[in-house]
Amino acid sequence: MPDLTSASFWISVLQIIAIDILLGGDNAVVIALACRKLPEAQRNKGIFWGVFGAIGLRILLIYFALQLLAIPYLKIVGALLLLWIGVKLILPENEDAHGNVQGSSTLLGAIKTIIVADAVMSVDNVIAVAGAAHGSIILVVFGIAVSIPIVVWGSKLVLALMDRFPVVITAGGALLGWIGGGMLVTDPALPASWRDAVPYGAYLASGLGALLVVTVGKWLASRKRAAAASIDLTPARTTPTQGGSAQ
Amino acid sequence: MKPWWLLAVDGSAAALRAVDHVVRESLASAVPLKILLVNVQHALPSDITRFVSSSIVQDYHRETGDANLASARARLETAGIAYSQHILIGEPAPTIVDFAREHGCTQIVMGARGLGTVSGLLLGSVTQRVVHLTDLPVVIVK
Repeated sequence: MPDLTSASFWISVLQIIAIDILLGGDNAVVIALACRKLPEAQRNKGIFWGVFGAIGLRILLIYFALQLLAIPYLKIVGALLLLWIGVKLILPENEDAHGNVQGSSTLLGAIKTIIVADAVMSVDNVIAVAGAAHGSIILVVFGIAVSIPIVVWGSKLVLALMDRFPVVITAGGALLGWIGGGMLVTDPALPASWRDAVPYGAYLASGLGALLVVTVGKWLASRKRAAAASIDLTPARTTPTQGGSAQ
Repeated sequence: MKPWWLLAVDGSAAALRAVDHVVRESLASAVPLKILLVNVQHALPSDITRFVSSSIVQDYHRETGDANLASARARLETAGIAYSQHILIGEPAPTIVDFAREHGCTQIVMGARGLGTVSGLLLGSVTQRVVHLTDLPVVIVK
């Protein structure tokens, strides 16, 4: 049983909830986007199976997550992955990094999109939760349990959150960097004496991880903004409509 | 110089008051105003868009933008005022400012506080940044 009175336990709980809202919510958004052009009956089916797959994969992965992280070097790999996911979260969409370019207005296309997204994002989510759980299986199970309602109902919540409070995205990227940085130095391949050589070494690594993710994410985003300015989605309607037509 | 007004709208109550202001000014003005009705949406994180084709993402933005502009459009149309509609993707304040410059607008009109983050009590954060970034006159409607 974890120590319910310790601050670090509750900090982990909060971190896990934040991760689930962002990564589980993003998974839900991808499913909703992939299905939105389908006829209604197919859309509901697509969303149902997409959500089912996302949750099933997460439950399946719990079992492996903690064991994998005990193997030397795998924490380092997981940590680097987390830093990269953090950057991806901060970086806004761009033209050349779209998946599935031919479009998925068919059921088959939507299914392909959803399977790939579910697989990749479940792994992301579980690694992040395992990193925040610090080896506690109860926390990992809790984290996955929290992600389930978010994957089912969270797409609107996450879209609204990102629209109203865009800083949430940056904070989420920083959190993933924080967890990744801490994970990096606790890999079993690294001798514990290294960590203890620097006072507050784990916190320092976490802080550096967060800083790295935010700096790289913001830097890449600003470079892209300079390259391509805003996108105007309505070039066809730029000729002023004659007023009065509605009267 | 012909007056080109950029009217930035996000579906909030203050934005609609800005629309009403433009309607009044436009009806009172001797020269016809050119109105560019603009809605800016944040880009989705690439964590999401890496899986989804750009046409679907743009469709999503277009529909959301259309919904955000609907009430403003209705008010302009009932008043019989000509306008053009633009749905943009990017960081709201710099996107509005760049768009106004690129299209040779002579003035930016917007609500004092929209749906953005709560960072100022009287002026919304997007409005504050637009005022800070642009060289154009900005009309802020409370």
